[in-house]
Amino acid sequence: MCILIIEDEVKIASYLVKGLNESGYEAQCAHSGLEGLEKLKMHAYSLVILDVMLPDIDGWTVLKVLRQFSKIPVIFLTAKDQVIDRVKGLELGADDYLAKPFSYIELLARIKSLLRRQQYVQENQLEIANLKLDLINHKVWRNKQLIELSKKEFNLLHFMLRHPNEIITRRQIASEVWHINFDTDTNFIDVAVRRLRNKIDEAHDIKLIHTVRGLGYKISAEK
Amino acid sequence: MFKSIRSLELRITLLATTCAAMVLCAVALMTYLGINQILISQQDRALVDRIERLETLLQDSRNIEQIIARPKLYQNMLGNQDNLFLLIHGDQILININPLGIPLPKFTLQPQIQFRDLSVHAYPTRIAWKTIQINRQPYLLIAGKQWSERKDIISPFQKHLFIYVVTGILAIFILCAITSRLGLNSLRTLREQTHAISIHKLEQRLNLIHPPGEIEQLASDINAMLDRIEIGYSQLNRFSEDIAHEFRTPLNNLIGQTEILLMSERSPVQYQEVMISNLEDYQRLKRMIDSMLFLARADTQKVCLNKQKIQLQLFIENIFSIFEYQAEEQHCNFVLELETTELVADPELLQQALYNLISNALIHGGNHRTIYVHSHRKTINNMSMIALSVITSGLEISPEHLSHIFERFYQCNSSRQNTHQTGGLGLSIVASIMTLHEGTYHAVNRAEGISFEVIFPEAYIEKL
Repeated sequence: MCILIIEDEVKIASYLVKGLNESGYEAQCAHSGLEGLEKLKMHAYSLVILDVMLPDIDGWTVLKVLRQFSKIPVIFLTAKDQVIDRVKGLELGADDYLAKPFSYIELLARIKSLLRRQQYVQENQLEIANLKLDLINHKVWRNKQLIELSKKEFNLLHFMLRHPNEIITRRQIASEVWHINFDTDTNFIDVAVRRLRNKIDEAHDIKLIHTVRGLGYKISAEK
Repeated sequence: MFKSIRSLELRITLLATTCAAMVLCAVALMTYLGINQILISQQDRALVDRIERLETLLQDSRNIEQIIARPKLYQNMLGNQDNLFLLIHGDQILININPLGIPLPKFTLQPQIQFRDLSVHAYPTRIAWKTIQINRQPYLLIAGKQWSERKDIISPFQKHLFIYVVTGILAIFILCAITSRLGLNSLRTLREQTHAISIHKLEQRLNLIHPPGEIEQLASDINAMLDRIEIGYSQLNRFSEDIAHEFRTPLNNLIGQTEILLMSERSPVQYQEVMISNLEDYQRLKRMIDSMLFLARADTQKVCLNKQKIQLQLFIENIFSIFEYQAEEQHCNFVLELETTELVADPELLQQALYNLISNALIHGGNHRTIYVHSHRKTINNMSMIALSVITSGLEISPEHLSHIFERFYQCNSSRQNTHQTGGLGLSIVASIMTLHEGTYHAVNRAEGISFEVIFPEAYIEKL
């Protein structure tokens, strides 16, 4: 899986390449719109990260030209998070967008969700180690023992189980579980995770919910 | 050239002068025509007199015989150089005084006196004629007077009249120019004073001595505008200063910590510690920038509202769920009282406004409070509005703070210790959100406690 980053800001491009490599993706970068289009015509990429502000032709034009020959998923990056920009990008055929400054974890989450969009199947039961979550009956078991969860706790666990072994930021949790899309004080998420952890992990030797310091949380059977 | 024509002074002068000139010309023309008419009627009367006199003379048949016998005598007696007089009987001209040899047209028999102008000739003449009956014989009497007599009087008059009119117009022009210059003098002062006002001298106001009413009005309007600009500008100035201060704190942490970290070799754990702490500060900076950007856009009305009908019950319960644990720890509880259950607003912005208000209630209210969220319909200035109040029981804010509480970075206790996540912008964001919704907001102390009220126009529902 190779990702193309079209971004003129060298520092951003290079840390994105580094980050994506570490996350298990191959990544290449182009520093101008024309170079990007050239590369897109020559190689088969799985996804494009496209900056709107480019030195030669802007991201909108790149997207327009690209859409004439390819349906490859595109995430565009914009410095202006104006609604008009967002709408314009999506109308031109972009699949997702992020406003600068963006969190790398969030970008990674969007990349993952776009890449698996095709094969994603809604499952009625999610599992990790000996934890089971039943979506139809709204029930959770750990080691075959039923655990009582509040509605929000259930939603939180469900969200985490959909992204096993991935880092989940507080912002993502706020958006998914509480539908808050503005930046807030995220203490309440820490409290919610703490409570969920008490109910799920306390009585067990193998801890499932891990704190990734500075970044967020992760649900994983491994340490 | 075009620029000078656009000058108000010149325009007023030209307009007034043109009007005055038109009036003057009309008066002069009427005077001229009047005099001319008088002269003509005088001339006509003289002609009539002459004809009548001769008619009386001729009624005596002896006279007519003598005239016929000695026409020369009568010619000498009656005529002078520029007069015209003829007595015609049939084809015979009995008296013929026509020294200038003016050709005469054919005459019909007319018992009444007739007048006619003979003007094609070198000596234009006005003639009068009448047919009289003597011994049942028709005699034609023709008398004439040259125009030149009248012309001699009227043309010097005409010349004078012309000079008077031109002088008059000139005088009016000069007077108008002077008057309008004097009248618009205050406008010039206004311009000079306005020119002197700059960003550094925003406190300066226009001050005119005895200006005309209209200009006084203009000056006071400009002064009122300057008041508004000055207030806005000083607010903006204070805001930038506050922003700079707010930025300094996280930047200070970032610089200091990183410098200390780099001074000697550290263990990976120590590096990690600092990186995590840095990330928190970066996020704080990002939040501040986002808030400021939102406020700036809201100020210029650049935020697009995504208005939707919102079911308040579920919507507010979701916001309560955010604060569920925090409230539990503080032994606070929420009460939702909805008199109206629907509201049209931008859901994300409404969520943010309520989030900020409830978060403030928990942070500033402390433990053991009841936080009421109450919705009701209200009529303000004949407009139906929907008000949402967030009331914190048993809490009061002193009145001197109440009027400033929605200002940016305003803190009731002036120490900057209390900068929680919104960094002193929480309520001003609420204010901006309400302005975007064309609604209002205020904070009042009620018997139950401090009440923050946001009021949405209900008309939104119809618009949708």
